[in-house]
Amino acid sequence: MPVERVPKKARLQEDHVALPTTPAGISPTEQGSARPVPATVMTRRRRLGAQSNVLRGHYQETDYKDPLVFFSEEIALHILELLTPGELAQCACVSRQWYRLVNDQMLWRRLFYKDQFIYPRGLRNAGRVPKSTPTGYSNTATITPQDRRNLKRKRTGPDPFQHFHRHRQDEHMVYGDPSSSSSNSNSCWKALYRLNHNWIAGKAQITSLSIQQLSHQDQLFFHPAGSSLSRDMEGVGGGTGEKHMKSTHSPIVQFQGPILLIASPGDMVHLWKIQSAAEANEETPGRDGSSSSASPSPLAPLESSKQPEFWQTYRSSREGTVSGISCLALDRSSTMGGFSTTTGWQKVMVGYDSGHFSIFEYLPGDIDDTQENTPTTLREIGNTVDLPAWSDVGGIQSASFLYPILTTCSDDGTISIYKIQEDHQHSLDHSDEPRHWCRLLHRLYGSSPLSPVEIELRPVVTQQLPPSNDEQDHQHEVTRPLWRALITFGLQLMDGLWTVRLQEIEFDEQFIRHSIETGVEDESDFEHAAASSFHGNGRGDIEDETYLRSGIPLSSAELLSARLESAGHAQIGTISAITISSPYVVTTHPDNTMNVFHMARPPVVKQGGAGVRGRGSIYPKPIRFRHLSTLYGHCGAVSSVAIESRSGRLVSASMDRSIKVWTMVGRNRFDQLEQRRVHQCALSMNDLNQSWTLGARVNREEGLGLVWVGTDDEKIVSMNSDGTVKVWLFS
Amino acid sequence: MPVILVSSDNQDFKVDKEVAERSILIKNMLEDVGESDSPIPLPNVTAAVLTKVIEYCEHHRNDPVQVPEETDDPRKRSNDIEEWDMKFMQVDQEMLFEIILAANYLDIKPLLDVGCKTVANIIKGKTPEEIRKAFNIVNDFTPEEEAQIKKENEWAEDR
Repeated sequence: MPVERVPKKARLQEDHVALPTTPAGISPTEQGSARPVPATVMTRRRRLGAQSNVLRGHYQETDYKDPLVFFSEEIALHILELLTPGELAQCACVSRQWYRLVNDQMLWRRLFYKDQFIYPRGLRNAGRVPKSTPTGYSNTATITPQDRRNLKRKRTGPDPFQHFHRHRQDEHMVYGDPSSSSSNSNSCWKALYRLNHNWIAGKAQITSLSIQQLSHQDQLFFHPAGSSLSRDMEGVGGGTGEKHMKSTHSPIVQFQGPILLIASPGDMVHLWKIQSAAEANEETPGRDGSSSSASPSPLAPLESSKQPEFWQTYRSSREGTVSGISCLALDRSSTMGGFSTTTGWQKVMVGYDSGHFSIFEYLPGDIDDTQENTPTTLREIGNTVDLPAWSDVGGIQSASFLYPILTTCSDDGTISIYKIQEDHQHSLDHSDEPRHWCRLLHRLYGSSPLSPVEIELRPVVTQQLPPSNDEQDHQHEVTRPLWRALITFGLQLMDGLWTVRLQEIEFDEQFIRHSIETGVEDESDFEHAAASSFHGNGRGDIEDETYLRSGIPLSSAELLSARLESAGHAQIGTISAITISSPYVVTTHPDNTMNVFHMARPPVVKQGGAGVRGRGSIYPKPIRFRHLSTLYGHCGAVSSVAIESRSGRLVSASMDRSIKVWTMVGRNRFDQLEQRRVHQCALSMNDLNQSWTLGARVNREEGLGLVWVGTDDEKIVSMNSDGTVKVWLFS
Repeated sequence: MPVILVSSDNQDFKVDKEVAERSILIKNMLEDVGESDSPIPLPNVTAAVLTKVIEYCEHHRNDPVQVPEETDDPRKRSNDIEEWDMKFMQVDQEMLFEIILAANYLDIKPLLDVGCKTVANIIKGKTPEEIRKAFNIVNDFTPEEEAQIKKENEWAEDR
């Protein structure tokens, strides 16, 4: 860089390069001149000059200096930046000064980007925080009592992460809010780095729980008739009275934050709380010391010795009328837009084979609370069993719950939209427990069963909402809230091939605004437009933009919508599972592959002063939907896949008993999903010794393998076909 | 046209302008001053250090503008140093530090990078105790604190 910007004057002089007088090109003009040389300099020169080319490491200790004290922080951080996290971990133990610098916010920020970790969407303001607190801890080289307390909190509770955790779905949040304590904002970049590092390195804390065991417990306490799961596994089952389960009903797992809900056969709903890694560590200090020095193999993640806390089992009381639980849907409204309300009662929908559903409530408890966890109850607040008018629906296959709106899809292809409402006035006997009403808002009847099917339900924020401070005023103007349900499903074609379709329903409480079904476009149409549409959307505060990543030139969009009518189906093999998280849809196939689809929406014409979205044209343009890539790598049928919406990370589970994490490579190229790391579950499954020692042969015969996987930004939850649920915690 | 640099201990160094302009500080200075024969005082750099710095600049006088490194695999955070630079940096620690300071002061980014890499390479692969020994650092942690920090950073440890 110095040479390039040589000014004209200098460039002219390059022609007559001065002759170097010494090999080094130095010409001390007046060596030994009359200039007096200070004595101190003389000594230094003598010392340095004499030894300058001797290998380092042969010096007396008095020459050594602490580089992190000697240099300015800027240079010190420059040095630390060149180290790996593992080396930094060593550096942190050197001294207080080193500890302070190793925990510097800017250091981890730089490392984060250097390692090309993908910054979670929605936390885009994080970069501002370090500016306000540039150098982390207090400038003294000692650990103040405050710091020490923070240290302790970091260890005992999910302190630094808590902040992130609680608000991680909030699009507008300034990450590491300056108003929070300094330790929080200091830890956020490091925590973010750590999380990504753990994901890539496969360092997870694993906790596992067996439903089989659970069922056994239930047998003792709740259900004398016995649960059919264990019997089915032993090959004895079938026809055990009224509790005969369909083979399709493996346990169903859903989770949100630390709360894990498992619906096991026999209409049991189990509520678990997953312990954070820090808490588990706290319980077993001895184990950590040994494992760190022994440096376990990369494929043996730390096994947490502490089991997750088991809270409660609920069994539906309506035996006979209610058949097996076919679906669980947790209320996601607390994590979508606005600040989460994890402290109150959380709702969960339990869907049954009969097409009915129940709504349950549970209290997740305060996760800040490091004391004994408050006991949590799971209670039913209502069900539709007594409502015969609704009973003509098939078994509920999939649902998305965004209180107060519930969208269900049943196996006969019916899509129902309900509203669940509290009614404080008509509360019956319990004054504190409001009665809940459920209203059927809309119902769409499909012509054919949709299977597999997934629903994503989101509130629609009108585009005219300016990203300014008076947001609240505008929200009040929106009198009728809008929701949008994206339903993706596999459709079997005539020749045995399948295709993926996407149904978009936009509705309010009274009307369905529109309902459009879209098929997969041809490859060629999409390339340029989609590439430009995914990233580089600067605003993103508006829901529409964030989640559909529009930004395609209008002309090409029109062109595309015209072509769409003539576009054929993209044909793929049998679809075993499907999942959606805008802008991706991923399908899994028994032929060991997965297919990733991407959706984008042509931009809505923005007209000045248009009050309602889509006023420019009555019908909004359909989402454009295309095949993105096929992922290979599993050596067994892929049974389930989950998308982490923030980072676009995919987690897939296969019957080969492996979980694979697929991360996106490159910041702007979304069509390259690279598999970074393979988690070999088999190596770490302690509770599966019995079946695992029998070897792969048995597994194949019995169809054992992972059947379900879910993920959020800090963990993977997987379920084995024998009912073992594992939680892989990366934080 | 040569430039005369004056070290803090009042030694004069006659250097090619091209060489001197590896230092952004000097380059800017020359641009500001224009055609002038007056020597440039560098009060923060001693003659010994300046000798080394000029040696570096002389060797790298024709280097192209440094492009920011685009590593294919970010996981391999290599601190590779060119062979000549490596030899050049085989000085005692005090000199090394002085060179880094001078590079920072004179704004010679490549030299600063090489210096920092050299220091980082000293730290690399060492235990805390070895690091302390290498830099003569006193451990001011209590054993409990140290254990706690160790645990806190356990996640990062290389396998």
